[in-house]
Order: sequence, then structure tokens, then C-alpha cells
Amino acid sequence: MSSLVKVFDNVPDCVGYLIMNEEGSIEHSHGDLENNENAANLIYKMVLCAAKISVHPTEKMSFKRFTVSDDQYVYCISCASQRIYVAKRRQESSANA
Amino acid sequence: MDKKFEALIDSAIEKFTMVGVDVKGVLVCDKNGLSLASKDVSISPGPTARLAELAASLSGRRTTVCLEHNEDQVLIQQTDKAVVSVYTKHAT
Repeated sequence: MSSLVKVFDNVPDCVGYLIMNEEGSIEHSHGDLENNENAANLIYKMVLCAAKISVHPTEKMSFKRFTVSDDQYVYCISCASQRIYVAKRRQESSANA
Repeated sequence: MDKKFEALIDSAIEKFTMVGVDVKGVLVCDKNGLSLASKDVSISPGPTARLAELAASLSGRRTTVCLEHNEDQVLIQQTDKAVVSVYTKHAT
């Protein structure tokens, strides 16, 4: 299980991460996302929603990864092996300020 | 009103093209997910509005959602009255 967590070691400016299973239960969390059930629930609902949206304007093509960015942080979300991986990273501009 | 929408969409596409991003389609829908205007898009908005709403409640600030698949991506942002989706090719 610790090998799953190691994937986040090389993510630059990472302030928190979250690993959920396909039913939305939290398997691992760390940093800003640690014990944050609200964020985990919202992100799970977003993944279910995003799975139905096509990335292409004319063909049906679902996402491989998606990001949610505001002016301070960006959530990078991807799915693999029946798990949902979320990394919360600081935006470059706010790190330099 | 349709013409105004089209003019707005065209000017938005022009801005993207000026920075070197190739726009393949634009879709504007209301907060309930009903389509208001579109250009070169044949897919219905559906859960796009819901996704934008969830993103805004996750962050509390204005957010942009970007869904990616290889080179294709769609940028979704919620404004005061509508949700805009821009389908582009990823600038490599």
C-alpha cells in the first residue's frame, strides 16, 4: 500500500494528496486533504460527473486526467486500477509572490 | 440574441487563436445544463454545468476545470449566468 503513496513524492509544490477507491472511500490522505471528507466527497462526485463528459466536441471520448484550478491551488485528478488519485498543488504564481 | 452569442463566441475563439491555442469548438450552457449557444460541437452539455458547480464549491473561488485525453482537452468555467466549455487541442 505504501508503494501507492510514493507516486506523490515527486509531485512538485504538492500541499496534499488523496487516494480513494472506486466507491469514494478514502484509502490514504495527507496534508491539506488529510481527513477532509467534504473535499473527498466533492471530488468523488466530480469524477463521476466528469466521466460522462466528452473531451472531444464531436466524438465520445472520456478523460484520462482532469484538473481543477483556481488562482492559488490546482487539484490534479486521475484514475487508475480502480482508484482515484488526487494531488493538490500550489499554483506557480502564488509560490513566487 | 443568437447573433450576439455567436459574435461573443467568435471573439473568444480569436483571443485563444492569438496565443496559439487551436480551438475546435465552444459550447455555452446555463446553470441547469441546457444549451444556450454552440459552435462546432455536437455533444450536449449534460453534466458540464454540474461539474462546474461542484468545482466552485470545492474551491470557493472562480475555478477552471480542464479535462484531458492525450492531445484533446476541454476547459470549463462557470461565469455569473452561464457555463462555458471550450474544446481545444493541447498546446504542446
